[in-house]
Amino acid sequence: MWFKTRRDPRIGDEVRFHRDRLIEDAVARGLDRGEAERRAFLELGNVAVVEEATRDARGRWLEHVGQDLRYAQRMFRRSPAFATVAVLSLALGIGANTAILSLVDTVLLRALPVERADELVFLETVGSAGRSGAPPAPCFVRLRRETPAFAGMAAFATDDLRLEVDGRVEQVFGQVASGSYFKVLGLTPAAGRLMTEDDEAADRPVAVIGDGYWQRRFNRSPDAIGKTLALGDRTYTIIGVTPARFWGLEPGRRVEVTLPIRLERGLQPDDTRTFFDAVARLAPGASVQQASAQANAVFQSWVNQRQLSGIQRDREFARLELASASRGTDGLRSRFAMPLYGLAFVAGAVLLIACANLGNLLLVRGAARERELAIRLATGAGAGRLFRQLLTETLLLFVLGAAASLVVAVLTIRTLAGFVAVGRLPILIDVQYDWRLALLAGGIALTAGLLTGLWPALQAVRTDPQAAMKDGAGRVAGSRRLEAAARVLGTGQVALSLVLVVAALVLGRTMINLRAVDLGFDGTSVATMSLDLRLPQESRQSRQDFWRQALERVRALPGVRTATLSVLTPLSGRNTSQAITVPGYHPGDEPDRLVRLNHVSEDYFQTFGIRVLRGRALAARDTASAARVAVVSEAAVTAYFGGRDPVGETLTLGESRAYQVVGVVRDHKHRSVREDAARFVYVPLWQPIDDLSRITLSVASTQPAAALSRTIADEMRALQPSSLISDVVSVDEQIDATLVTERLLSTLAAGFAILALVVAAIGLYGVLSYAVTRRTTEIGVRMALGEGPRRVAWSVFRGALGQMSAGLLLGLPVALLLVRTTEGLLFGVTSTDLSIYVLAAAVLMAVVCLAAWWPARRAARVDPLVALRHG
Amino acid sequence: MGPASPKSDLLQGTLDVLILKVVALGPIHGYGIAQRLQQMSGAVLQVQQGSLYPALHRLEKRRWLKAAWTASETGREARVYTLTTLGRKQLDEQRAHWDRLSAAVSGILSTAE
Repeated sequence: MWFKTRRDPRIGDEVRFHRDRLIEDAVARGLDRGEAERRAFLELGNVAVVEEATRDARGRWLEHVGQDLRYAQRMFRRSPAFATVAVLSLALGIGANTAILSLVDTVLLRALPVERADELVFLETVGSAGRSGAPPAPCFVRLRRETPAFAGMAAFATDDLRLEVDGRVEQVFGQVASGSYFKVLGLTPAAGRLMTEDDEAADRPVAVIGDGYWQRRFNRSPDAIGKTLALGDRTYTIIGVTPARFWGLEPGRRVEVTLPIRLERGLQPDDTRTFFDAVARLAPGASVQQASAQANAVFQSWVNQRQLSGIQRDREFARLELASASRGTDGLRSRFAMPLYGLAFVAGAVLLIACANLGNLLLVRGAARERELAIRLATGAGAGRLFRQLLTETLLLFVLGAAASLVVAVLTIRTLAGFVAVGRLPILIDVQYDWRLALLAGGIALTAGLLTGLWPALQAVRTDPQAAMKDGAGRVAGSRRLEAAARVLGTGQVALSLVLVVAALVLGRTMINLRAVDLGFDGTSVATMSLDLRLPQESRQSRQDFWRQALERVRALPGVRTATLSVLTPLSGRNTSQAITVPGYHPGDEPDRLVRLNHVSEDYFQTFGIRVLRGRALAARDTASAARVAVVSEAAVTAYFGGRDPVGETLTLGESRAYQVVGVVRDHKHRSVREDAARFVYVPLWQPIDDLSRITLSVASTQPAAALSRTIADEMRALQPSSLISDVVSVDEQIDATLVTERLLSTLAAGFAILALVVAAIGLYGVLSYAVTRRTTEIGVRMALGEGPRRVAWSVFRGALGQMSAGLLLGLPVALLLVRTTEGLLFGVTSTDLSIYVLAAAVLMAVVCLAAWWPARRAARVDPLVALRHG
Repeated sequence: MGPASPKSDLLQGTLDVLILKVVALGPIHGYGIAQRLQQMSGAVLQVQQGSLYPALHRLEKRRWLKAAWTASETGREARVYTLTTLGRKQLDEQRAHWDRLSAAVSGILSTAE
């Protein structure tokens, strides 16, 4: 036994000893046994009553608890299925909620780990083209001088940095920032010191690294400070490390290295380019409105001086706005808000189901134990004592469930974090187990558990003990009430399960539909990677030579089918556009003038399986010295050439570069699986419109991406030591990454739905089995009167189906509402798709029948003779 | 609880001192205490035997008595009580208190009317 205390006083034994001696002595005096027993009872009283009074006299609360725990443990051992189901459903309910709420908190709610985050604002220029980052540098400099409502301002721009550390080139995510950056955020270093305005003024080449990079690259060695990082032709000295919790201002990304931005060097007063973001801290007492008005006034004065074109002003520089920066930039939030709230809803439903299930089980058990409770009450256990015992049982279940929920939560958090950290731009989130959220979820479950766990005690106290004991099968009014309550809870469970099953079905179908979309290309067995190169004397020619040699070497590797270089690859998340002019085509508005432009080497269409529909593909012979040629996509043909065969016609890209169209290729999905095919123009890599720095190598091979990339990296280093292979990702993985939201939702919804069904089925089974036990006599009578086993079994089924129908009626409107509000996430499914609801109902029906089958069979097998004899 | 007794009820707190006295005579189990009390009081004081045990356990909890399960005279295990040093002190105090009280009470009662 778990709770056997060494100091158990064995009061019962002691009092029984007394009673037995009274009897023995009386018998020894010549009384007959019956009389002796009667006298002993008169002198001593009821053993159980004396025992209870003695226990009270000892007044040891702990001992009572120990005893209650022993009772509880005995109960669980007698019905392990009950205990297991209750503990599991609690663990899943609390665990899933803790995990999802932690994720919601991290992504949507948590403030940046900086000083007084609510004082921080981003400066954004707004125009008809949308919001963008900070105003151009000259305006930023003026704002810094002329806005007293800001206590400080800082500029920063994040990017992948190609660094040379300890003689090795590597790519890390980092940022350049003005010297005021860390002061504005109010950060203190984890080691060394942070960059300051003095560093910026003196133009010192310093670098601040993140805690994660410090760990990964330098194993937290203090020697890291003083080491150097080379970026381009400049060498920076590491001066300090940012705190571990600080990952930068862009949720989902982790800034590893911060370098000085050199904002005012070579500053052109008429510069109107925007390339950085700006964060400012409000001065004490200044309101956002004041700061906004001041900043916008400065901005307008700057715009007026610049004498921008009316169009540019309307599109980009209409006004300056301040946006709260307390939670960082909102890219991740706007992308995940809807899915995460959806998940939180689903998790909440799971918790409710778990509560209902626990309540259900406790009620049914309470009803089954009514007789036991009545007896204990009659033999002197106080009502308080009885309450305490049930309380102990409920609490014990609860504690076990909560402990198990910890495991569930931690595992779920880890899985969720791993789920989004895929693809070329993995989303990194610092999700941690939040005990406060566990307390919240646990508190809800506990309340439900206590309400339902203590109700049977309340019923028992109100029931006349004599009636309860007399009634052999425990047929008391109270138990009917409990059973009715259990039925209500069961109905609620069915309703919630239906909602979850519907959610799982629509999301699953969405996923299937998205997977079935014809992408227009075939990326199976294709791996893509960035190929980066910095040459001492870089020229267009030297770079093209390197690319050519690189391609040759890669193509010669074993297992490689085709290899190609391009600026863009399908679904990579990158995009480049160029203005297009086609004779006879009149663009409507600005976006119409832009076409997506990709620079590709030969074999691009072959590598990605993009079919050439007319003319020819781009070939190795389309070199810089050859005639300029281009290939267009079907959508471009429709848009610019009115659908006619464009081969042989000319199009102009940018201001004046003319290309002759030599072929037409199929459309393919570029930005996302959901989008309509975009218009594309492909030009040879060897005939570029402007300087190309970022280039992607795509290789179709029989090798896994990771192994292949290592071989290729070695080859490239052999060819050119400063080359760098990074961002290795298989196209399939990249497709997964673009569907991360949908995959996350559909997987979790399916998991939760299955869980809910299992839990609901077990709950239903429990209620039905109890009902059959309770009605054994009645069933016996009915069978004795000639009712067939089939009809008896049907009566059990009918009860279950009744509950189910009520649940379905209750759940359907909720499910409909849910699907309607989340239609934006769906693909190829709508809220009016009847088959979804029919299928969900059928699934539930099957589950309910499964749960009812065993109790029904038992009912059908009741032997009238046995049932009546024991009744 | 027990049947109504025609005999005198014990004064509040008296049972405790009587138990201490009985146990002071030597280790003894609950049944023995009950028997002894009956004999010693000449059946004048009727101890409701059921109330003996809460008292015993109360005294044990105050560490005036200690108890252990040992084989009794019949061979069956019984819970046997012994007096602790603390219990002995308590008994002496109680006895002194009782002597003073009874002297005072009998002094009042024996005053000529």
